[in-house]
Amino acid sequence: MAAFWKRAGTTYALIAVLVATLVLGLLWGGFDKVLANGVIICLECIGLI
Amino acid sequence: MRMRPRRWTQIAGTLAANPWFVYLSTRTIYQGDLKGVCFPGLNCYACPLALFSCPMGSLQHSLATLSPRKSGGSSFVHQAWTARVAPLLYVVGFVGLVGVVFGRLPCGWICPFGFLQDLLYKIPTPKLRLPAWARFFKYAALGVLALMAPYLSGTSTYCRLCPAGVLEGALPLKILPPEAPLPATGWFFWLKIAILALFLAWMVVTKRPFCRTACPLGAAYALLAPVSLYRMEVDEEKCTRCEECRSVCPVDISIYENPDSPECVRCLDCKKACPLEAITSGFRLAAGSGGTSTAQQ
Repeated sequence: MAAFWKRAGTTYALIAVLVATLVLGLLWGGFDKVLANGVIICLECIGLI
Repeated sequence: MRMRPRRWTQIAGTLAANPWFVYLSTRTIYQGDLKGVCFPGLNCYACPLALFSCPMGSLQHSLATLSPRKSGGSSFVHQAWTARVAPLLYVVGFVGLVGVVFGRLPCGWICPFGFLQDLLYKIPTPKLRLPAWARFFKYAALGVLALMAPYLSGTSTYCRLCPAGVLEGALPLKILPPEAPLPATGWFFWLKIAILALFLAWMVVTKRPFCRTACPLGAAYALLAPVSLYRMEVDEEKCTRCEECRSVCPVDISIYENPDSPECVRCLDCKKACPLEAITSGFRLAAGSGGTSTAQQ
């Protein structure tokens, strides 16, 4: 039982932290920045320069 | 011959990540809102057919823009710190959530590069096993090439070496260039081709060598796999350690040794192959829940 609560606690705590991280990233404009990066092809990154 | 459900999801995953066939006629990459969404597998967003962003590419770009080398002297330093860290938080939250809920399940079921490796291994040749220590290289790829180096250098270091990037991005763009002309390729392009060729040859003789030794996304999911909601369980009383599970495993592990193994891509091939039905899987937390005992290494 102790093992269950330890694992459950770790998993749910991680989920809570990661959801908060994701939401903060979205609220502060992370989506737009990823989008802005995604719509251009970085030729240097893929070795075409 | 009937195809397994996993093959269908791998085909669907590959097509879902790369459905922009409009490029073939327009030579214009997709620039809509979906490019702001990360795909949960390794799929280069420089691929002319790609609809989504690569989480590892986005992570490196986020770190590179935070780099002291990049931000010095630009207007970027005047932005609020929340705006500067926002893409990093978004990508870390996304990758972390996928990992903590599913473990490495996306590697086994939808990753296009994983699919390619499964297919190439089917070519009948003498096969080679990977030594166990080789799996630690993927953590170095994540920590050094995908996290530290982009921050320190201000460039997407792992992308510059990524064989998925050259196969899905550089080569198609070289063969079918976009509207704007591409510059001439240098020695670095040929170095990338050599890395890709090496991995492709390795994929024929060894089970998923890229996933097991070099994939930073797989490494990130692997770190979270031991606490993921979706997990495997092995009934110790039923299991006879016949190794049938290992013979079908795409990452060559014996699941009974550690059902929470970070290497396990949750493909469930072992569950289907087990003659004693000793392997179960599902969304659960407790060791021993659902009436099964869990073997731990």
